[in-house]
Amino acid sequence: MTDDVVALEAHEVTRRFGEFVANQSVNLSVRMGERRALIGPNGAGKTTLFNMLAGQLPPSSGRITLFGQDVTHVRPERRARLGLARTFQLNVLFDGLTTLENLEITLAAGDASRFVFYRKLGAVASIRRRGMEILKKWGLESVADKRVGSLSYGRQRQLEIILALCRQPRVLLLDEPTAGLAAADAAELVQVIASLPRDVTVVMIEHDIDVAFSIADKVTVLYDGSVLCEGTPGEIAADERVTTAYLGGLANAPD
Amino acid sequence: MNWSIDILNGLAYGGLLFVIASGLNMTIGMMHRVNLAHGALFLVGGYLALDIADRTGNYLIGLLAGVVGAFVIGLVLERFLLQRVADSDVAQILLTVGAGLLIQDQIRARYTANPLTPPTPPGLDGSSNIGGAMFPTLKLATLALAIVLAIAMTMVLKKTKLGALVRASVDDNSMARSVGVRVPWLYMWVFGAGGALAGFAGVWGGSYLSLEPELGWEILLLGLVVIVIGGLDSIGGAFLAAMIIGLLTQFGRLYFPSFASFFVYGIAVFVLLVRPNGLLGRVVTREA
Amino acid sequence: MRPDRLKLGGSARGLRTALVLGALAALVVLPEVLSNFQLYVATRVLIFGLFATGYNLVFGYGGMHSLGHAAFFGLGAYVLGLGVANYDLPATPLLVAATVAGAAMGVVWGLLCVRIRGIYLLLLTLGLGQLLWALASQLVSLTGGDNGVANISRAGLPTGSVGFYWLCAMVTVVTLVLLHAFQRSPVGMSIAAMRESALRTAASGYNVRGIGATAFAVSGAVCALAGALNTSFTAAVSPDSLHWLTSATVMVYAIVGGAGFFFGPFLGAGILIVLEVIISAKWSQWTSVLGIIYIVTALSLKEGILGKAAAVIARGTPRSGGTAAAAVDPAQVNSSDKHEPIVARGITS
Repeated sequence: MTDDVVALEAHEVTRRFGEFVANQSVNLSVRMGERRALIGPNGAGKTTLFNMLAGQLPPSSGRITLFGQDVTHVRPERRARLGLARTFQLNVLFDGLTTLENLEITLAAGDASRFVFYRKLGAVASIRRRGMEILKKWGLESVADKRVGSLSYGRQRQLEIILALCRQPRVLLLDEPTAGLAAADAAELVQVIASLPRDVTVVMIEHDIDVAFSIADKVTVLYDGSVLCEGTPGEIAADERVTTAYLGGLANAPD
Repeated sequence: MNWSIDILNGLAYGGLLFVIASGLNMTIGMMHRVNLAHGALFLVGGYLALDIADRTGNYLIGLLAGVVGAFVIGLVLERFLLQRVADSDVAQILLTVGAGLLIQDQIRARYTANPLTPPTPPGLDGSSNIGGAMFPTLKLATLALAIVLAIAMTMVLKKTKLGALVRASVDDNSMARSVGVRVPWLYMWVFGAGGALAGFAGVWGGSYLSLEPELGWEILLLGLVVIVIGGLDSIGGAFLAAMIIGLLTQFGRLYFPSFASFFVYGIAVFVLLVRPNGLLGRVVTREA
Repeated sequence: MRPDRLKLGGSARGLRTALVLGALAALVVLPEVLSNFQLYVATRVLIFGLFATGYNLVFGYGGMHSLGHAAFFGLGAYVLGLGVANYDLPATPLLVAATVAGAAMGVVWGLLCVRIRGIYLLLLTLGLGQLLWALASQLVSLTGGDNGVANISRAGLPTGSVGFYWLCAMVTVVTLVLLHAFQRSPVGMSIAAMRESALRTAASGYNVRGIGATAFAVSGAVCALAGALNTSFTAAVSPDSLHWLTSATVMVYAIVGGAGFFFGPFLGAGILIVLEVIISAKWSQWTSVLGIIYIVTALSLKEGILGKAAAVIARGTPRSGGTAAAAVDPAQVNSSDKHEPIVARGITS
């Protein structure tokens, strides 16, 4: 926690789907530079909360702020340009386009290049160069011209993270980043997240408690749509309510 | 009373519209097949009935031939063609427009493009006395028929096992398969039934409108507008929409004669934009 | 239908260049070798090829299944037709006006249609198109109603068949070159991105409504330009140009040629128009043949003629050396018809 600036905040956020209440009066305050883990059994409302934080889903009531600015009714693309990036729980990529195209489209969205309509995407300013640099850094040059839909699951998962990182976001929302990855790949990814610059704020949903506790400064436990408790990994590990609430859920969770 | 006669005319036209739309209600609404061959099946029913009734001199045999003919074509269309493109809206458009063009052109080749009028159902060609005014019996019968049809379809779908099977298969196709419902087989009969309703509409409506090969596409659009406004899979909604359009067309003809169809399309577009599930359609809430 | 999913190897890229050059050469030679009637058919192919290519920006490239694009074609047709017939205006500025009108209507349609998918999009575009059709048939004093307007003069455009052919050829080539560049630009690629995933497109920072409006606007402009040319070409305009069966026809052109390819729709228009001329000259049942073509296309030609050709070329390419790795994977060719949800208004509702 480098600063007292609050990066992302949810005030009394509630989301209903008809009769079903997915989130009930959730309060969440993440400081700039903080690593926050969001844990809880399946159906606790973690992904719904993420969708509201990133703008895919409007809250039924409550308020969301990003660096103090009220973004409750701001559309996802505006939030993205305010420096918020996210990954999806199940890979959501441009499957029919190549790896390089996926990257270039994401890079172009960050500046005025996205309004260019007469020059080839890859020929605009520094986009091709930056795209190739990133591919090289992640060892993806060999699949630069492959359709993303034809890549292995692990590669696609990796690309999800790369696309979220490539424009140097200020706030990064990661929805189960290690899900479905082989142990070695997962460890490498954890390493990448841990070594992000300390001014990047990270909120991650994570099923693997070891991963969550090793990265996080602070952990928030969601249960049944509401915040059950919040604290440092040590405090959470010692909290009896968490163990009780979690027992049923954990039994089904991976690991 | 002029007014009440106008209302009755509007409702009778609404009845005809419901009869026309009822088959689409099954094929597009319930089964989610983009069935643009509906108008062609209407023509098959009308022309077959006309031809056979002419040859046999028996209206009922003609009616039966028309309904069975459209039923069989619907059955074949679904089982051998549409089921192979079940996952593609666009392929279903191609297939059903193609079938429609083929049927329409063959009808034109056989019966010429001149308008022909099938016989009026026996006993319904006179007028009835309604509170002192004379009103064509056929129109009254059409309204009654629409009411009976709407109730019967609702009963079959809501109260019988067949209806439950159909709804279950549409809601969760793979689940229905896994508990042993023969979905392709079931779909074949339901689509056939939709075709039979189209054919029946052709026999009945033909005596109202006169048949010509080009009429098929107009019938399709009328049916589409009705089910769009009512909510694709709602029988009650379609009935309500048919009555609204019937009245609107009747009064539209009186007060703004040239814009009736513009208003009807306008309402359909408006409904699609603000209430895509229609007046009485199921509201589907999806979870994120 | 996913455009440019096929990464062709070096030899195939050479083949493509050769084909494009060949087509351009043919375009130049045709007026010398064709009879007057054949040149008339060629002009018709150019106009409807332009229409189909413009339509495909929304349909194949944008993945938005419109069944109402006759509205743009007809709008352009009426702008030019009424401008010349009712107001005595010269045709050249009217061609521009038609294009602008198409773009403007495209913005409106794009804003209305974005985020609506599947059967609801088909019905909405069908309804919007029929709305225009009803208007054109009923505003009799302005449009001539069902009969339309006939004997429209060329009003400054070339009156001879060869001259008019050259005009259409030039307009078509220039528009196609611009459209091709547009599709590969960042804005164009964002349309392809939205086809692949609207969810990620928005999460990346793109305004999805803006992209939808842009796609429809550019597509509408091209289709309206084609419609305006067609009015000058046939000297007449009628509500048929707005009818939904015209929309279905252009959809078929796109699919038959290959909606996943830039030149597919043009090829489809060419093949079907030439077939129509040949068959209907010999037999009165062309409509039946057309119906059968629709059915066969739906069942076994979903990737179109170019899709089939690309699959054949891919199978023929030896898998050795650097370029072979980029050859077409037949499994990918067949995996294109993605099932779409009946109604998807974003992640909500």
